[in-house]
Amino acid sequence: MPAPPGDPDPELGPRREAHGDPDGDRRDDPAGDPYLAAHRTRMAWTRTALAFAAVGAVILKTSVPAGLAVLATCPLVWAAGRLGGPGPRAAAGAGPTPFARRFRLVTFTIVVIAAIALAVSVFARGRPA
Amino acid sequence: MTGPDPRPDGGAAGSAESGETEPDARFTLANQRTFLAWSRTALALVAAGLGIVQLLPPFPGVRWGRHAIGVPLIVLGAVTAAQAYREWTKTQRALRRGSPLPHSILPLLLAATIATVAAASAAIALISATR
Repeated sequence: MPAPPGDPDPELGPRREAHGDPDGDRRDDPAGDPYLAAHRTRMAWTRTALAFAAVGAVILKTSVPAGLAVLATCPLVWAAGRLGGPGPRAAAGAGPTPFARRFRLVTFTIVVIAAIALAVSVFARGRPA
Repeated sequence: MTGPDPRPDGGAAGSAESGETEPDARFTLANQRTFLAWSRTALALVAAGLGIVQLLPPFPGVRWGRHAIGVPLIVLGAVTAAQAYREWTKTQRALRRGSPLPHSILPLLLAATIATVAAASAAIALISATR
């Protein structure tokens, strides 16, 4: 069944049909979003971006430049989950899995943030008694 | 994609010759979500460690108390992030080869470290209370 005309997000079309029509179950349709897996993965990226923002806010409390640098990664992480992300093509397993590089980047960023946090912990003055 | 790519970290659809095939997208995406969940755990550990060191009032009589609790959590955050990436690649390779999924050491690592830090926190609080 094609997506409804005027649907702003073509990826959402099959899911809406599946919810609205009991016979329109598209779980096994590779062109759709089986079990909403791609949608849940995008939401996981969003939650991860929010986690970066939370850490940035904590670091901001003690070091403004370092905190701003960490906060700047937040939209980048969010975009990493959206740009070339798990759309219908990836959900169908028809294309490459373009995540290895961005996962390496996320890992590297977290390790750098941990190093910044360690430096702030050791060198910045904490809350006085 | 121009041809088969045997890279375990998922650069291509794979081929029959290399013994690797692109797994079901649901498994690939579930593996990605697991990596992201561990990444969030790593970030939470870093935030918790930094919060303990910088935002908690110092323990009376135990000047090093906050660092003894917070620094291990920050280090554990970095280790968790690196290990999460390693396990993602291993799981992705297993999915592509159709072999059993690898065992994860992250739950044990996390539980052991947090238990140790909790015990150290209790000890520091007791020492501080007796001084």
